Amino acid sequence: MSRFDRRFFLRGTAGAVIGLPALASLSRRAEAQTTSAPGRFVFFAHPLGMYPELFFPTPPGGVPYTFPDVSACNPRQTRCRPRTYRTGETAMSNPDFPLSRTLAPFAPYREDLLVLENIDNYSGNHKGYTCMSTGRPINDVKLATGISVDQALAQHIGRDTRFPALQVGVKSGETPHARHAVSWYGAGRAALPESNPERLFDRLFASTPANNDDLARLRAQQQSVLDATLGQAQRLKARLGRADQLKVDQYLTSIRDVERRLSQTVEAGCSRPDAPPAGYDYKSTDLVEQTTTLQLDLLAMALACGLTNVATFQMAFEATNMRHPWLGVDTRWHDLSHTSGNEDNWIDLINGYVDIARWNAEQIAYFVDRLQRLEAWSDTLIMWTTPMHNAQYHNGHNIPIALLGNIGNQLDTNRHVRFAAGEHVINDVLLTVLRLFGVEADTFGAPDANKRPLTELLRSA
Amino acid sequence: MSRLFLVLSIATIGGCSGQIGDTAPETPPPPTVPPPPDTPAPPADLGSARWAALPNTTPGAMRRLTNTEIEAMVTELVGEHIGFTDGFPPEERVGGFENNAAALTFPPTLFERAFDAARRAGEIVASNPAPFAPCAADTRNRTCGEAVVRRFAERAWRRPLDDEDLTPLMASYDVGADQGGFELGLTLAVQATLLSAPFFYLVEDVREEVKPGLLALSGAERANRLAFFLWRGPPDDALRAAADAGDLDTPEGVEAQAQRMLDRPQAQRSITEFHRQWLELERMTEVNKDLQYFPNWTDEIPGKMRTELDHYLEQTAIVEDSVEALLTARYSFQDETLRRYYQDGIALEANGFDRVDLPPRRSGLLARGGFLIMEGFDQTSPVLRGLFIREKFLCGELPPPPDFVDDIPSDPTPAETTRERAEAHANDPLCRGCHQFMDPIGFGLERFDAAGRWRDMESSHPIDDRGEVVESDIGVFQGAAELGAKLAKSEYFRACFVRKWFRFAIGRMESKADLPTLQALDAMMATTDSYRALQLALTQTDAFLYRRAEDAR
Repeated sequence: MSRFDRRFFLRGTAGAVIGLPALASLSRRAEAQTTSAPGRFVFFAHPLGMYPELFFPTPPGGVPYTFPDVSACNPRQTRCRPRTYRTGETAMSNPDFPLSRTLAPFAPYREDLLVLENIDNYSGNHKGYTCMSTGRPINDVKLATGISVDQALAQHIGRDTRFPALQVGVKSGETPHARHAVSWYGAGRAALPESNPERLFDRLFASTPANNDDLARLRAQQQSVLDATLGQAQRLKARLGRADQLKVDQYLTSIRDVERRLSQTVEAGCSRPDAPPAGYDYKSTDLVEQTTTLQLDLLAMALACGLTNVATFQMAFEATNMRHPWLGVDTRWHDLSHTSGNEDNWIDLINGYVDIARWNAEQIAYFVDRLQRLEAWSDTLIMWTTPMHNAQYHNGHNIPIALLGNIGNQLDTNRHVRFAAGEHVINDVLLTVLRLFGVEADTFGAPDANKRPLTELLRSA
Repeated sequence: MSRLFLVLSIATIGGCSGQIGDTAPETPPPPTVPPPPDTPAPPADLGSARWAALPNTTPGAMRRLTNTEIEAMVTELVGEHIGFTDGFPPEERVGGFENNAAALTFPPTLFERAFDAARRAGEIVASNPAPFAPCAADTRNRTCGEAVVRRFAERAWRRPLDDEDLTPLMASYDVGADQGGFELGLTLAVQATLLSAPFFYLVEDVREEVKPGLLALSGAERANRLAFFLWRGPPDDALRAAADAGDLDTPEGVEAQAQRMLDRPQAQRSITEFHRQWLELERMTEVNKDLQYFPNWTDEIPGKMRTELDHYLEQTAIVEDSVEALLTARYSFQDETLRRYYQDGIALEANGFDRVDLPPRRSGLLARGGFLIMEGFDQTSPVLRGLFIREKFLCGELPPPPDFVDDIPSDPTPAETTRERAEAHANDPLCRGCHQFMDPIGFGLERFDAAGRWRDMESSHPIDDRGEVVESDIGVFQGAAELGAKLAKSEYFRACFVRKWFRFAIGRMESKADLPTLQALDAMMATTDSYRALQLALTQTDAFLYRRAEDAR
């Protein structure tokens, strides 16, 4: 019987921490204390919502969506369509769901796909970008008020990896702000994504010398430097009052993080990838396709090499206005997501909006393919979501969510699962994710936004 | 004369709290909106009530240097700008500023980035160590290495070294020298120095009490406070020498050094940094506008507006040293692109960013394009412009909108002006409580569109740009220029300006115990427009000259 059985899943926090079973993947390192490979999680953060009519699958007995005749809208009424789109209000599960236009790129991985409907974000609006991963409100200086799901998971399955959690992006935001970060160490402490492939490569792979002798020499150098800093910090700490000692503790934690990073070995089976071209223009809109590929390749290799088990990937940032010229979409992304329905070319604009979402699904599909080739796909779970459904309404109800992959075969995948409208907030999904990985938690994020883990998503015991 | 400072804690007015009805059919019944914490009831003497309500601010004893300060330190030490802090996580701002001691944390990524950057810095110093110890010009042995390391670390840690400090650094040197000789030895020792806590942190020791609740600072500690306040960088040799000679042991000695320092070019950094943080200037270059409504907008405009504003700040705040000039100057610095863009009737020929005289409507900071574009995408946002001015210039504190309120305005329509649309929602009695403090200010700026250009009409409606600053000594005004002029004369603004500078200088929020200090500064600021005078006066305050006993716990 798999350790990840339904009864475990339903268990509260009374039990002891449970070790996790070994996995078959050849490229993962076996751990001495616990059993190996606790699973992998990647959170793909998509800004500005998606056109829900062409994201959510047509329900059973429903009619495939077609564009309405917007010429019939009253010109004073700026919104022609219902504020929240749903395929229905009641709970249902459909294993024969048709792949929508947005989800079509997932066709080769349909068996691993779960499409969730009628999950509400903790908060609507652009600030929901942070709420969808933390399940908490933001504060009045637009920072998160709690830890995000990836960082919470990293505390369990990322403790022994060189990077407990990795944050990667393409044209992502660079300042701590609710619209720029989905990964938060805790309240007010953003973990911003690395959008520069050269810097990402350096962080992940560059400090690994070619041979063991060089490695040993470098290690000795680095350790001597760290020893000096540690000693000095302890000396300082002894002179300080309590509040300041806590500050030094934080600094010491950072030193120890780097120390641990240095002591990790890179997998023998991993191959160090090629460095990105020197001086690569990672901010260029015209290069976004290549940049995305570079970043996803690096991320996939990092996962396969056991450098990390937890990652977030951010395409741009919330309320971005980037363009997608290679898709033939010249209108800027924020503009596309905020149509009124009165535009003469409204259908073209919506098609652009959908094409962007679909292109992002293609990137995720590419990523899954890479992981499969690196034998790092089993026991990997991807979550793809966005803070609003149609961003024009800034409405956080019924946000598009797709889960791809499985952990210990617990999820009953290949379904469109619709919950009763208004019943569940994103916290229940995030809690479910944590419990899939064996984290014993009863709530995640704001406690009163939690109802229960979503056992509907599991295979029956 | 000295007027107690008024801070608008909006719930004092009573209208900013309460239940807000559900207007959207899909949203669930809203929770009660609680009043913000620490809100005093409206008393006659609003100033002292605010102090009574504020908790004592958190300790500011040990403070991490900000990224700007770290970069300045490294540039000074290494002799060139190397981008040491590239990739460092940005600081959180408290009370609007980055140097708040309690908020300056040490994120894991920072040390990781610093580890590699410090190695780079080490390699540069090791390639030319002679400035630190003359022996290094021709000697490359351990004794000389130690001399270099000692001198470097003294400068980097801003204090003399003892043997216990030096031993671990030389242990790194030894590992490096063993593998790669003198140069690698120095590289590692310098790397270790730049990663050590004494480099990142300004630390003050516990000393004797010299006034009730106030502890003495050593000369070196005062030198650091002076340098990081007035220069946002390390002390120079003259300041260090003055500290060693005991010149900084008296307030007069401190003032004399401050005068000298304010004449040095490094002092510009303090002014630049103050304004950058105060006015959130880095947001400017991220601005985007809807080309459907602003067809003349291009991606280069925000960068140019930032350059314009940088020149404007330099001239008004540094050269003229006048906060009145900041708010009312009738000139700016614009290149041909900007002149063509603004269409203010200014001759187009320019040699880069030349000084131009402006029409009266464009006087002052609030009429600078860069300021006007910071909010709003397809239309102006009187709410956000009003909020910005209320927060930055009047130290107002409003709670955020309730979570379920859709805080994006309705789309522009030809049927109404932006003002009319905003007035409609703000007239809702449940919204008015907070919006009365923001919207009427923003209305007064409506003649400037969201892309910073002047307009007389908004979709064929004439614009009404009469505004009002309620609960202040400003009252009604019309247009950005008049608002600037009234702010310049406003005691409320002056008091807020003083408090912003206090936070910037002292590295913590003001508290009850600071009231006498602030009142004295308010009185001084009522008689002068000078930044320099304010900076000097701040170096003479108890908060600057001494350390609070409570911070030593």
